[in-house]
Amino acid sequence: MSEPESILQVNDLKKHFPIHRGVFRKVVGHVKAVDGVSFRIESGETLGLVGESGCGKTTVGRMIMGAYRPTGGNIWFQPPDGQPKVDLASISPKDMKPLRPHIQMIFQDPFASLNPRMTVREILAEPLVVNRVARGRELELRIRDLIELVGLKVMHLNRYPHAFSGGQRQRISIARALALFPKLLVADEPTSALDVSVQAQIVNLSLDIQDKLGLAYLFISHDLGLIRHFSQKVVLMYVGRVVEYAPAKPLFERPRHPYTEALLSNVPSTRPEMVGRKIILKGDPADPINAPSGCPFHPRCLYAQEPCSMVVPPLEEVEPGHLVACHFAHSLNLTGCDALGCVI
Amino acid sequence: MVPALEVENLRVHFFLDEGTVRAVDGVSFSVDQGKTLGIVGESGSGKSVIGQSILRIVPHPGRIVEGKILLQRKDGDGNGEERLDLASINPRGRLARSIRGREVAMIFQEPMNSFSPVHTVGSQIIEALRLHSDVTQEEAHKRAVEMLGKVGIPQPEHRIGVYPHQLSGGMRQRAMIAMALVCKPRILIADEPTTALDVTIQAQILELLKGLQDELGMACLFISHNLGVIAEISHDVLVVYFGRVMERAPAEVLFREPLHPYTKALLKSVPSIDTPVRSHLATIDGTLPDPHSNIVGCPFFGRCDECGGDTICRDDPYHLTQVAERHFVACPRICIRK
Repeated sequence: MSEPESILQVNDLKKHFPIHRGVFRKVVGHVKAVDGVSFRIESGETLGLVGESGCGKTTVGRMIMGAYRPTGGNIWFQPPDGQPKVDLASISPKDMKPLRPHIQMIFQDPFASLNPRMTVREILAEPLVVNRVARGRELELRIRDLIELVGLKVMHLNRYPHAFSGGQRQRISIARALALFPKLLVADEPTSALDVSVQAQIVNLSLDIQDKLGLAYLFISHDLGLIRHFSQKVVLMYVGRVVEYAPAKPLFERPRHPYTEALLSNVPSTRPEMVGRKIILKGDPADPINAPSGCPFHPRCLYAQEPCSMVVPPLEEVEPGHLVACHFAHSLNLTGCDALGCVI
Repeated sequence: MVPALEVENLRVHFFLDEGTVRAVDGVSFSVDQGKTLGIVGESGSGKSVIGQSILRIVPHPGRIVEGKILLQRKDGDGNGEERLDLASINPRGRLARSIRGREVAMIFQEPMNSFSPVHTVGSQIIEALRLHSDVTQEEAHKRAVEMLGKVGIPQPEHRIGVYPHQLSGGMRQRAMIAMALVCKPRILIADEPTTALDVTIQAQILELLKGLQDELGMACLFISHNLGVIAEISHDVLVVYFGRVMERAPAEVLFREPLHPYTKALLKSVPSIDTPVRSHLATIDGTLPDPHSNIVGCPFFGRCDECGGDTICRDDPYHLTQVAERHFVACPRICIRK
């Protein structure tokens, strides 16, 4: 078998939003929302992107979608038809257009992401008509396929979004995203607006669809339990940077970054008697406008030493495939899920 | 010991044009001083309305139609103790206003919406304090600073003068807690207080609430949809569904050996360490019953995968039965078999 080819490769991606002040809208600073992020997604696999609010995970998703133009770095996308790789970071809107069907997105809020004035049929038909994929009888068949694929019925097609529950709306969003046979799905917190029992349905549906269609997912979430369940590889971000990038199993069982360790220990568990010590971090996440010097995590880190406040730690491979941005990744002996007893 | 708060057969109905919504339909529980009762349920289960009815702030057209909410408090002269039925007082009256914030306080999910954006954090805390107790401005200021320090806000002398938008989410929630606790209430109702926060901040706030409870000894009603959070903070847990209590048990019992099929289904639907990675999660079939309907039997009937359509479940009138010490279940199958 040949090497699995990466469908998406992100290199040193940056997005700095300027802050304007005063009468002349002078630029007085930058919000470094994303500041050097690299990862790759193989075709058919799920990459989980985790982090706290404001760490830039949504911004990464939006740059891949072409909604924001990156300040720096590359987003290499492999079109499915064997053409050479293209850099989405510097592509012109005209060249981007034929690529859009391959990358689709599911949003967090199923109440805001569907047009209330369109029926489900119109919602699902729109991408197919706009991209001239299908029309007439063929269009109708495709729409019926889609609605059944996500577990709804043909009779639902004539209804408007308000007639559906949150979980059903999220299914419609998924159907719309799948309409154009995408290769990569960017799912930005797709279940955080849903109840747990409905969340489980959407998770199951997403797993089934991935197996059936061989899609790659970029799964953006703050829920570590879901990320663990869903992803083959995980990128953990903190204030615009990647702190740890590893396959899911080693990341959860033996984290190498102090932030990962703290985060894992903070996940509330339904079995309190099994939980070991909790690492309560002091303070708030750093401010992306003026991030601390050196390692952005050092003011909250339990293990911080002198070099941490001065030198930004590079993202280095500590084991094959396991990348960590910490000066002491080799010497620290951190506890993972099992030892902490956290039951996520 | 007399519980700090006892709720008996509470029914809160919303009288809408389309019909009556029984948001809370026969809920009973009690909380002791210094203990936390967790109320867990999915959206639309009525858990927030329970909290609102204790403070008597149920929005129109909702009304308490039946039941008692007994609050243990100092009586009029301040000598003995009395039990006041909050369900029978005038929600707009002087008595209700003197209880809100003084004896029963509440913290909300989104602290940005519960602070006034045009007043400083300090002035809002001082207002609460001076409204309920006879203190001078200087004394109130001192106590507000002290309270802000106690909830872990750095430089409280400085932060007392800032506006809510100048604080981060976690700090705002701390300020909210300071405002709620400054009058040393007997009961604290926390309605999803950590839902809008990140996990590291959530862990900080939960730790803070536990510490303050040990120190001040208030009883706490902690409302959340997050089973993990409930498990960590509660002594007892109430599982609500469709306005009714499905199961009530001490937290360690409920999460180790849940009895009600609904509780079991809820617990199974979140991935845990025992769930094989990328396996299917257990789901609950169907949807909530029509909120306007008046269901006599088990409201979980039809979605339950254990009763197999047993007619007892549909027809046996809802009741909560004790199955063990401090463990109550409303499942006809379990209770009748017993």
